[in-house]
Amino acid sequence: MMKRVLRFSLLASTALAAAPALAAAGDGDVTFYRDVLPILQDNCQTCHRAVGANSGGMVAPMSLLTYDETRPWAKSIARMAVSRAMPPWFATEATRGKFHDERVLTDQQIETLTRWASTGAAAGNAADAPAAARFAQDENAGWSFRQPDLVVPLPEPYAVADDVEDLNIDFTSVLTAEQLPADAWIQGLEFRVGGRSVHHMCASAFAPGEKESFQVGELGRNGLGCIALGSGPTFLPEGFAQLLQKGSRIKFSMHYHKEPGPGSGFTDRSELGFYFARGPVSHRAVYDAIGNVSFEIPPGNDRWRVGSAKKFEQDSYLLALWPHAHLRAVAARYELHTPDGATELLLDVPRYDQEWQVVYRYREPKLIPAGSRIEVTLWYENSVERANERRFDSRQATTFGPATTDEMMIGFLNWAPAAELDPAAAAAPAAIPSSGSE
Amino acid sequence: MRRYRPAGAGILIGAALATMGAAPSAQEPSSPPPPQAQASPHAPAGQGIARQSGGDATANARRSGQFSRFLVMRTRNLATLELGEAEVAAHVGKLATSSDDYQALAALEPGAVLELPGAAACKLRTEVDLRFGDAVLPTGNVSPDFAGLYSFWLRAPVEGSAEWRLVLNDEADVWGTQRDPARDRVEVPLEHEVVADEAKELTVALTAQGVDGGLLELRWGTYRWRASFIAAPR
Repeated sequence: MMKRVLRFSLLASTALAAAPALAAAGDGDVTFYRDVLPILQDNCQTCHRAVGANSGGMVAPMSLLTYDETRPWAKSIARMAVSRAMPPWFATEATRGKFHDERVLTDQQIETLTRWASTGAAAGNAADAPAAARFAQDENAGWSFRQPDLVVPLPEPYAVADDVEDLNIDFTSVLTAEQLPADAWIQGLEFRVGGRSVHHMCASAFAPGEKESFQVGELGRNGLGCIALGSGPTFLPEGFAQLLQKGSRIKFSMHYHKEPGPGSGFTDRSELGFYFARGPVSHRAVYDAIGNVSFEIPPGNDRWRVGSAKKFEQDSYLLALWPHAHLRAVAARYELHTPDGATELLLDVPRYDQEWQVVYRYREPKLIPAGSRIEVTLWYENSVERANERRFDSRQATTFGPATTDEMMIGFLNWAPAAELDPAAAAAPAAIPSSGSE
Repeated sequence: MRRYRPAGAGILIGAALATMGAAPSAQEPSSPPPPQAQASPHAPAGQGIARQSGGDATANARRSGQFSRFLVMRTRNLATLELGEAEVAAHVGKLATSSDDYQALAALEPGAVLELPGAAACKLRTEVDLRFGDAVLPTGNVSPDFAGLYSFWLRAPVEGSAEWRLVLNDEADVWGTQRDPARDRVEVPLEHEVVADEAKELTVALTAQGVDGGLLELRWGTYRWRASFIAAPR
């Protein structure tokens, strides 16, 4: 594909010098099958197809698998590509190459899409098309990696009533011996939610007899994971896993948000798929959060900064980052401050969108030294303009809360102590050690 | 002006509560009781248990602000003072004298502002303009017709002086390392003394002085800082 793009790019450059002579050739040179389809396969089709990628309930509005499906959207595709609204990816160039599944079009790819749309969106020769892309979901009943080793749904279907606009509700399922006969190391989690009206879904696990009172640091101890609109599944690197003990209680925390009214109700039976580690586990991962819940965003304020931080007492690996906030959030940043006084930008999201809550998973675990501090900062805009756009009341101060029109300030992260587990403990984990969270 | 209620607890508690949906294990004394756990109309039998974060589905159809009121100020120390109809509130992070932050206090360079890597910045909220000596701390600094919201910071005495100073900054919700000097609003002198009665953690107190005045007092280890203020309505 790169060869094709480069060739087009060269032609386009040449066209500037010899426009009259090459105009016709340039028009004919950009075709769906040869030039556009490879871009769509690599960057769009994972979501834009009938059963697209699992992104926390987000469903792509149209399929872009075939020419006939794509042709009507040619100009829209070009427009979205030029504005970089699509594909959805919000981290800046500063972290390019560090995370999985980066969805960033090159300038050349954008140029190809633009030229295709502006020159008639020709199909070209079908013989030029690459082989149809294959997606894991197609072969695994919609699951993103493989068939999960364990699927735990809500205990039973739950009817979200027509009059509900915003609802937080918890469900608990107790793992039976048939479901989980022995403790297991969990390398991946995939939530499958019941639709766009599931604002978020979280899960935590409590070992048999473990008290269910949250104290400081217990999110890292009990949290399994969360998703919201736009979030994909989590799959940790080889050797990293969370512990799930047999007989655990799986607590689901559901947040539904929708337009209330007749016919808006639905029945939900969201589910959580567990992917067990199939190789040796050397590091016990935890799901943690760096958050601030005592902020107050003033009415009308168009740039309110809220900060939080966590200190790591031991050498640790960072595995994934996920900034989470609601309607007023406009930007997010994670910074690493190491004991030698250095500062490193871990993640910069200058255009935060709560409808695209991307989980940034490291390609390689990021080692940070003991004594490091990660600072998470979010910025909020409580302006009339944003209120009109996102539908909230900017005349009121806003604090931390569960409703979509409240706010949150959470920097989720998956991390693990760098010290390797004792092989015996890794083989047969018997107890959950402290996560070391604040 | 709406009576201030602190938004919530500290790091992770709120996150855990909000994302995991748990009710707190204790409640703020002055707050209403948390909504009772209630089975949903579709509560599953046997091993399944459902619990809403407040009321029934209809009551939850539109909720705002209720959630934060029953969070516990577990990792923040809060002080409040009534000045007529207005309220002044201050809260500081829970920082023990065994913390690195306290060690940094002893090593603070002359004239430097103390950072608190272990906590959110200390915060002051006032529903009436306050006068600290000649300096006025206005309401409306971050939003017209709204309370004044400030972070406050300790500045060590400069060379040749024994005077600590209190820096009040317009960014109230930043972390204790994130002060932007460009957003400093006013700086006022602090009385400082070393006391024998050691405070094991950073604490803040607001006490009435006269009809319309107050005293802000910070204590940490053997340090005690104080600043007097009066209400100065426009």
